[in-house]
Amino acid sequence: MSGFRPGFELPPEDEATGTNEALNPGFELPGEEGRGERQLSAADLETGQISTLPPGEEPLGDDGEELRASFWSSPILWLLCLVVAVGGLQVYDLILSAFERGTVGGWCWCGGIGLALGLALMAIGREMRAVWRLRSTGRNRERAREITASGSGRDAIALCERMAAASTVVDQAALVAFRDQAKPHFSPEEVFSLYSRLVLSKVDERAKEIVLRRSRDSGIVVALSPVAWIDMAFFLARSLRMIREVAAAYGYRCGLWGRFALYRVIVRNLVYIGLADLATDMGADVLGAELLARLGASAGQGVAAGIYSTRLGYMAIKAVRPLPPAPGELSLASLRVRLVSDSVGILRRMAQGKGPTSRR
Amino acid sequence: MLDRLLNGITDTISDTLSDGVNRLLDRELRIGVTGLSRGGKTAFITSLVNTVLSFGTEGAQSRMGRFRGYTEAGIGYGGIVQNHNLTVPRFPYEACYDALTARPPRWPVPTESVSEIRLEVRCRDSRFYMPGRTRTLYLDLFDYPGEWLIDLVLLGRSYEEFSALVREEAQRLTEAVEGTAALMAQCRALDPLAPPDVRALHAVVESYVAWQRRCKEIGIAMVVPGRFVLPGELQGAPVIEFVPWLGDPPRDPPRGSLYQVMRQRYESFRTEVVERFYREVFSGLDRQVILIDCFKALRGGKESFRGVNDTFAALLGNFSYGDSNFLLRLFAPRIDKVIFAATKADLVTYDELPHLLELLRSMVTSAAREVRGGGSNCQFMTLSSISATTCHEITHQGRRAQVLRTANRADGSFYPGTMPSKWSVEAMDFFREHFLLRQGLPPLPVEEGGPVPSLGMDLMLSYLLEDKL
Ligand SMILES: Nc1nc2c(ncn2[C@@H]2O[C@H](COP(=O)(O)OP(=O)(O)OP(=O)(O)O)[C@@H](O)[C@H]2O)c(=O)[nH]1
Ligand SMILES: [Mg+2]
Repeated sequence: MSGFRPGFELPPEDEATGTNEALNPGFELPGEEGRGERQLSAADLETGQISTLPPGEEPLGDDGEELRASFWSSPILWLLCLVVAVGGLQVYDLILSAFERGTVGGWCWCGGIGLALGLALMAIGREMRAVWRLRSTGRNRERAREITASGSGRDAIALCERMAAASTVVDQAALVAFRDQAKPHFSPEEVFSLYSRLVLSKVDERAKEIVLRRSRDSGIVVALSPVAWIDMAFFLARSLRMIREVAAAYGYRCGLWGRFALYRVIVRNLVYIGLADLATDMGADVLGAELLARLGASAGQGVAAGIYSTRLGYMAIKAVRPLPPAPGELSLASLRVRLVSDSVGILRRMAQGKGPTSRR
Repeated sequence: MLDRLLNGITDTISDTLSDGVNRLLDRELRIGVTGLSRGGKTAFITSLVNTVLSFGTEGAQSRMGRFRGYTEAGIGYGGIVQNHNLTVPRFPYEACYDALTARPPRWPVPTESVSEIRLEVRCRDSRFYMPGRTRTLYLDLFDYPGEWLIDLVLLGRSYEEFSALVREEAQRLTEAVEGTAALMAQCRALDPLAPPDVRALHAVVESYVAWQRRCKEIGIAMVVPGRFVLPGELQGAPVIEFVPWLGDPPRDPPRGSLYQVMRQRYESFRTEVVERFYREVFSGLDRQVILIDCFKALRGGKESFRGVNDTFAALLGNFSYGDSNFLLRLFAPRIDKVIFAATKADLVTYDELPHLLELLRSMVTSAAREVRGGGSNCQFMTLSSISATTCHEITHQGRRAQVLRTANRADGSFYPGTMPSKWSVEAMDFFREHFLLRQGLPPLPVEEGGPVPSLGMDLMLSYLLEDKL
């Protein structure tokens, strides 16, 4: 029973996300048509304009600027130019000498070299595209964070449309459902979680399956193999393959460079984000450790390998997923718990399969 | 390890047990809709019923974007069933809906008595041992005049405390409300020790009610007893023929004296009217929806500044909050979730909704603390049960801006202004000066059998039902 208190304390400065310093007065407009007015709805946002950012300015961020500067001043570039120049001269020389020997031979050489050049350019183009797509995913994620902090639901819908257009694995029916259900008055988080739930969840499920299967395989092989270096090699190969498959599930067919760019992102995540995840997933680690102690040494190694492999897979998902996974949707802890329960089940079945004499 | 396992097993067993019992009882959810007068209770219930009735029909899903249980639990049907309590009139949903489909559309009329509606929602049974079955969830909702709600603050107060409350309020409002001094004088002129003079007392009661009305006009929420303003079936009954004692309380008033008679009447008012209302409408609630009209509060002016928060904190003191565990719920029902909703959110543009939400949070800080202290879950949201406007985007002075439009195209569009995001006296001043608050806008017309235009019903339903599906 608080009743009427004489004094009133102003509510404390809270975690206001939407504090508006500048207050605008209202205004009225006469009732004519023709100002290009349209009712806000999700359907007419395909223009993809995002109003929190000044139009026409693609937010490259400092990262992009820096990259360009270091690109031009890098010695590797000059070396590359040199190599290309020398190579070009040599090729020119080659063609010239071929023409001296005979016109037909000269043309053949020309065609051959042209073809090779074309193929090389195409390959490079493909590689560049893969790298560029990975980078644009990173940028979109950055933008999603910005919109969540200070944008509107409308911007979020526009960004989702853009991501869907850029992706090759989006299920059209799911996208239609998203367009149908997302409304411009939603908050950005709500729009993103709707997109995750309707559009990305199928892909997430597939990626999760891949990670679990590959990790389990690695774990079991490590547990069963007698020679240490074999399982090391196997583990590495399996992990790389898993990363490639996860990326493919999200629609990235990466070439060589793309793959390296991806590995770089993952390793960086492993180092920086991994620590944070580690802290939040202590519970699962404890579970892991307890189990490790109870299983024998080699089985323990297997489980450890599996756990590392899931972490790697999780990082791969984080690197290629268009939106950062929300805690409820996908977490390392849940992956790990499933992995441990799965593989313990399998190991047990295998132990039984070996015969009734083997100890349980 | 072992004890964790054991805990897990006992949890599973108790979950299954309580599920089984719930299964026998079928699930029920009593939702308390709380809101001061003209706060939008009737509109909210109408819109909620309309949404539930649309469950399973084509197009319903597109309006349920944020209610994930709708698809995940496979809700396929919603309907109205017979009231729980057969002696309470049914909520006039049809009349409210017909008023919206009429041309021109009208708002539901102000409520004058208590009514109840019971809804049923059928969804897929997700438990593994009941595949392919449907399960039914019942929702009970009550509508009542907002004036009566405020009387709940009297539940724990004696006549003396009630008098002190009003006396303090009246002293504070002497300048703001005309006739306050006259009322005080009139009350002081009564002789507390003499036997009551029916005519004089009635005259004082009448001027007290007139004063209450004037207070309400300037946006003061704490005008008790609210029943005086809207007596309903108590019109003329002696139980509401009393006024708070605004002078100094007398020493040892003899039996049969005016003071004693008024005290007696207050006591029976408290126990027989207010408590009965509380028991009928608010006992055994599982969820509470608190509708707050931020616009009205902002418009109120300095006198009503401290009103909202204190009023709701005082009101919420009457409810018991906390986790509702199954066994506890049987004996001592508890509200485990409270949803604070800023109503009439269609009076601002979409880009102002986050500010409205912030404003709501800052308005009800201590009320929300009361709820959290009890261990209940608090949610905040913006809501427009029945929209009167649509939001459009235009190019205005070279920039893109959002504006509102009413159903009447000839009205043109308007930008109401920025919503202050913090509850402060300055915000109020700004709001009163610069905000274009369109009052009395008609609701958007509804097609016969069509959905009621609303914003945020999906979120509301997800807060209310998600964990019960
Ligand atoms: N713009 C807009 N106005 C609303 C909305 N809901 C209610 N209103 C306005 O608020 C008024 C009161 O709404 P009601 O639902 O009757 O309020 P109530 O809480 O039932 O009021 P009482 O029955 O008197 O306690 C309506 O007549 C409308 O003018 C809304 O969602 N949007
Ligand atoms: Mg009403």
